[in-house]
Amino acid sequence: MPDEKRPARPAWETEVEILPIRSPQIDFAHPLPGTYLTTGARAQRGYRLSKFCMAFMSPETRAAFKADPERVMTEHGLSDYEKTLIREQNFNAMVRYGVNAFMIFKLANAFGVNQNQTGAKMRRESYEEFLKTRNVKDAL
Amino acid sequence: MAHGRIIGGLGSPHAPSIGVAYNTGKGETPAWKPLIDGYKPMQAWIEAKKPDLMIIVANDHANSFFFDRYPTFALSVAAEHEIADEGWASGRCRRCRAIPSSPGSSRIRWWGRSSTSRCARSCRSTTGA
Repeated sequence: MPDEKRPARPAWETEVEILPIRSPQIDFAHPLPGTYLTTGARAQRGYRLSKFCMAFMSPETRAAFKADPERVMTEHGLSDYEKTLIREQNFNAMVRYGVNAFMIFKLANAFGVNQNQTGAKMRRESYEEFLKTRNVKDAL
Repeated sequence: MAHGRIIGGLGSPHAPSIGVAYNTGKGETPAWKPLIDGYKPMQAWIEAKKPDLMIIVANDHANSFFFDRYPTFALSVAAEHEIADEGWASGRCRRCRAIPSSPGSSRIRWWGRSSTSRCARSCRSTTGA
């Protein structure tokens, strides 16, 4: 179902990279709001940013990022757009860009954002709003 | 050498948050108690049966491997298998966590025909152990 109120998607979100996929179960003209196709091309585009997130497996990188995030991002050769995604903690855009979800959790933790807070951000809700939807408030 | 006897299997959900909750002492909170209590019959069963060997089959949430090389199946051979450190249980070292590293065996190996085969090229050395 098309959502006419939604702003136009950036070109890279709807680009023709998905064309080789042929499935009667997917209506490419009207993608489901809030869902994004993961494709090889997107995964490769997100590879550098995914690899950057993998560096947070090391306590040294976590400490360095806490002290000076800009320096760590530059050292890993991230592009300006990738840096912007990180500065804004725009996890939804990272998924669309091609970053793996497990990698996003590693990055969120480096910001001191727990998994519930990450979920709330991705739903575009405040943490308080999000917790109202849970049966038990302190699950994490 | 006698073959082992399989006496049972245990299953668990693998959400990383479970280990973090347990390690940070949330096992008795209303949110986690129902789930953590579910492990108690399994713990009692292991205690009663005292198995000689446990084979742990687990997936990898991009903890040990990265997308540059991601095996479909891998055998971990080590005296001790550490839990991946993503920083969720910060401030607690692997020795003082409620869930410690898993003991392993560095002597485990594949029993197969190729274990004493000759080098296929010209050096004629024996490969394998």
